[in-house]
Amino acid sequence: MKLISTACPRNCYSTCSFKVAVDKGKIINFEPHPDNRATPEGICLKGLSYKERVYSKDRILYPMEKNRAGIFKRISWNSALKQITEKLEYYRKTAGPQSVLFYESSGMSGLLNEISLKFWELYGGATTSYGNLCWPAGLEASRLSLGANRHNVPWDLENARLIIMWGKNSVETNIQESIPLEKALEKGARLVVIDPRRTPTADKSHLLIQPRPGTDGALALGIAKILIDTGHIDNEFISNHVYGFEEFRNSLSSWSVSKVEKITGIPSPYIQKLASWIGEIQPMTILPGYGMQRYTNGGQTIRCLLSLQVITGNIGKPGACWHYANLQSYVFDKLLEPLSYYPSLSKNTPFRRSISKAKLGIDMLAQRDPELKMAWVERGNPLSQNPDTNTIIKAFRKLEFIVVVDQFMTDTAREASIILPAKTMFEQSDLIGSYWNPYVQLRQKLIEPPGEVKPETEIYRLLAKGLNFSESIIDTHFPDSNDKAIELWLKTKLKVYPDLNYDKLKEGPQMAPNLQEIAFEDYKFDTPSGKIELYSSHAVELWKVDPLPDYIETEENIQENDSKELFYFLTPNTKNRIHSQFGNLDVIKQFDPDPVLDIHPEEAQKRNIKNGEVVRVFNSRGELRIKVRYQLGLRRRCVFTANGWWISEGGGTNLLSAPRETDMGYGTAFHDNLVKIEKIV
Amino acid sequence: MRGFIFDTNKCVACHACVVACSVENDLQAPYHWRDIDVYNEFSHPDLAVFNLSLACNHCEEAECMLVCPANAFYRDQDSGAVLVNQNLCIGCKYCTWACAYDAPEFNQELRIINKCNLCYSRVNGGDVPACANNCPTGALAFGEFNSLTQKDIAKGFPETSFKPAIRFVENRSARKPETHLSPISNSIQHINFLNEPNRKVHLKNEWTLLLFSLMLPLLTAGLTGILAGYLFVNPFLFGLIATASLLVSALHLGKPFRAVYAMRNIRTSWLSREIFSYGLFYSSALTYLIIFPRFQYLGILAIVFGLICLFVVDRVYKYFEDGSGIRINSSWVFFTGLLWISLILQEPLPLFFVIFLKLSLYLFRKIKLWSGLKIQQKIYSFFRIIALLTAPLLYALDVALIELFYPLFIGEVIDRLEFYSENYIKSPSRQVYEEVIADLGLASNQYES
Ligand code: SF4
Ligand code: SF4
Ligand code: SF4
Repeated sequence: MKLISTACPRNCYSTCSFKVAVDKGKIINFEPHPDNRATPEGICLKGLSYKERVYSKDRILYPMEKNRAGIFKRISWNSALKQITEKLEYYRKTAGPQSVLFYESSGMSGLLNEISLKFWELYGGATTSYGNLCWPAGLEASRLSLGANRHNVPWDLENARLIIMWGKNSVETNIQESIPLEKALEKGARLVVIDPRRTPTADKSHLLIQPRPGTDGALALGIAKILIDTGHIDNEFISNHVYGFEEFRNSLSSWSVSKVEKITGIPSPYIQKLASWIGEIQPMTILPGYGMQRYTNGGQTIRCLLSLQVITGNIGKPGACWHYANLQSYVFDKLLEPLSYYPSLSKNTPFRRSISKAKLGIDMLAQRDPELKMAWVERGNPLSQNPDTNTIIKAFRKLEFIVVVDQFMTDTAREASIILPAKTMFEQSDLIGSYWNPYVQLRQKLIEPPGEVKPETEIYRLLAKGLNFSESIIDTHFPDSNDKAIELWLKTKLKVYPDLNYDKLKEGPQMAPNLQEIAFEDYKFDTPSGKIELYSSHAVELWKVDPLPDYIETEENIQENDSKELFYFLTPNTKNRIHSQFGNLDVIKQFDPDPVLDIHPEEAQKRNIKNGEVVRVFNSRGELRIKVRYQLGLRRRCVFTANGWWISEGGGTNLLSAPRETDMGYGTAFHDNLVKIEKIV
Repeated sequence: MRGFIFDTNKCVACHACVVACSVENDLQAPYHWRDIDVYNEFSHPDLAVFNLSLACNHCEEAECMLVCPANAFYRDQDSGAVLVNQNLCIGCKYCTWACAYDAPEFNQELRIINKCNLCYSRVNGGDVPACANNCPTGALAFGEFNSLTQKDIAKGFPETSFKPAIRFVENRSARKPETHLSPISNSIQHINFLNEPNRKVHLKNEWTLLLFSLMLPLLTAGLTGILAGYLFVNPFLFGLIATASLLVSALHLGKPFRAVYAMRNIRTSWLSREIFSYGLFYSSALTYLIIFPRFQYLGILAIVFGLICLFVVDRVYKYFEDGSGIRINSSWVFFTGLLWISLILQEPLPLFFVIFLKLSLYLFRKIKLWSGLKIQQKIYSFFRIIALLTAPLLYALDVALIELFYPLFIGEVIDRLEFYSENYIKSPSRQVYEEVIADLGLASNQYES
């Protein structure tokens, strides 16, 4: 039995290091990896469920083809590849390469993923997708203000005296953050949670503020106004490091506590209390979640929140940081997020045509010259994860040929003409970074792919051969999938950083080169003014928003006089899944068997809905039928269900969400989503 | 002393410990040996929310070990782990009643008990159990106890005499967040947002026990009647019924063919004693009736064994609680045995004494629990009471004493049915549920379904 170090490549803050016990080519067990200071104690239940995921009876292990009756049948690799190459040649010739949509998402991180894009470039191009489903509005807001997305190392949180989890439910979505959080609390720090739900994170808090969804920006501006009026700001810090403070102060003249109360639904004493804590308790760390910025006002909301961190001088010190995203370990990326999400501007590149991830369905249907004929989907499940599912289904069904690379029969895989089996994280080595901890890590190959699974690099290499790419091109761009070749490819990447040694990476996580443990401790900000920009002319140029952080109502909102029928539909993540991954495994299902809709019993009672009853949740875009669960900690007029359930499992929150982009960063505003709830009679 | 050390402040109910255990021990969902109980799951604003992660506590005075009729439990001396010998377990599930920590788990496929084994081979190798090893927040640990900083009881943890090998880090006070949502309106008080946890006893699973406990008093009384010359029954018919009762109770076992193992623990297990005493009753009664019908002392001996067995049966059910506060139940088979014996001997005085006893116990319980009863339950209770009351009434009307059997029998069946459907057994989830109710200042019956 061998213990081998690896790291989890999911789209999750924690990016845990762990060790895997492997015996005779089989995964036996997992051990914590104490060398990762951010995740020393152990991995979450999802990580532990990998054993089932790898060996699941439901895993797709062979290429499959959908026959005329709509049933998937196993086919040989030869036949799958032959069909795909023929189609690729045919569409390139008849409609041009842009008639093929290449769609990828965040299903598995790793540097080798860039080979996919290389393939499509050499194919002659493809229609790609721009933007991102997750966090770009907040990234862009932070970039515009601070010049970069960086935060203090995770364990620095224990130095904070005031911790504000603003829309972040770290206890479920970043479990290992509980360690420094608890240390800080033990030392007497205050914890404020701002969330319409009483989350498990809120259960640790001293103060829980439950605003009307989408109004966080107003709350922040109101507090900024109080802080400035009462002199609870760091004048020295502001004059040295902040650009546009005067303009910001002037813009707040119309704000008052009563206005904030009216907008957010938070009683003024609580606004005052929060303001006085922010004004008086130092150092402060605000940890904004990614949910608030998935509204149409998301980017500006994040800028409003960030202003509190800035005017109180809580930047660049231990215990004081804007804890949004830490991209310091993404050392291999030529272009960091969110800039890498922008669509290509030049007209002659192979990827000149790019469609919006946020509006995938309508954009797919709208393409002309050429129309989309084929799609290739990897590392993603757009049918359940992109907004406006019904239109996406329509767009997919209009295509002539769909290839999906996946491990399981997801909603998207069901739409495929051909499914190709995808590797798991244990079946090919790769390098990964983290957007939370400061490590570069080697995700090591531990076992041979089961069945006839081939890593994507191999699939592309075979397709390149099928399409008669020249020998030299194939050898330069598509490494052989044998372990030596992959190792060599990764080592070439590492050459830029002499400190990052492959053999050391095999033992465990390595600190990113040039890491700032305390972000911005040098007070250098990569903005046009070189200072933290409260006033950003770039924001105006790029996004046509106000140069200052401001508050605008979200597109879908409930005002006092609106129909009592409407609810805010909250669809965040839980500990049991990463978006649409993991929920299909028995080990997860035993704790979370079906989708449920949390509702306040008072709201339910008004509609004569009993605990456990199945109700209809609907709006003009679609409907869901879900079992109700009474939740007394939820803000009234809000309902909650977890994102990521497959439609085939009775879920699919995006059946109800709207295809909209956020105000900046090409994000996806699917949280702007009102629904009605109806008893089924 | 060493064992699990659990810190409620740190536990976030992430279930990683549960899954780590399943991976280590190759358990297939839905089976798992560790469990998380959440206090105030529905987030009542007046209460904090916290979690308990519990598995077997490898108690110093392990109740499971004492009560297992097959003596299938044993202790691994080095690690201190309480383990089950899978070749001895008869699948009677009695340990699932006895353990207030819900550690033993009946596996439907294997038909025997499985439970946390303390990862004893890890522990003996100097490691900690898999669950404690992997807890991402450090809430669950394993090690030597420190009486200064650790406590042996935590909110939600059932208190017992078992000396569980677990310690708790005290919960920081004022864990409840201050919030501004408008308070819960009074109308909500009556909505059933509290889900009653598994009672552990369900009539549909225990019908074999029900049959046995109805038959045993009848058999004992029947034998008394035969001996006294009031009753004439074909000895083979008696033997058939007595054998059927035995077989029916063996059906209750996960491994019926291991039934003889049930007498391996007469020293400490009431269940073992029940089976043993029934065996004595059975063999002496049949020997008397079929082989030596003239040997009356043998018959008397058999009746004594029957009475002992009746007494023992009621001890077996000592883990049952109904929430009324008294632990004597009107359907106890010992009372029922006395009832039938006095009836068959046509002795009005003892008969009415037993009826009076049963009636008082029954009424006391019903009055206590009345408001929580469903309408059907109330109707059944009504019949039960009528049954007990008609007996003296009919007697006053000169109806032959023996004729009272029919109404009384229906009453006894109702009472025993209720016994299996109204009672519950202590468990961590029950404890958490009851503490929430108490902390909300509400009477439990207001919330019961
Ligand atoms: S792993 Fe730790 S934090 Fe998670 S549920 Fe278990 S004891 Fe609690
Ligand atoms: S917790 Fe239960 S099963 Fe474990 S030793 Fe104690 S009584 Fe036995
Ligand atoms: S000690 Fe081992 S067997 Fe027991 S709950 Fe923990 S992991 Fe499971």
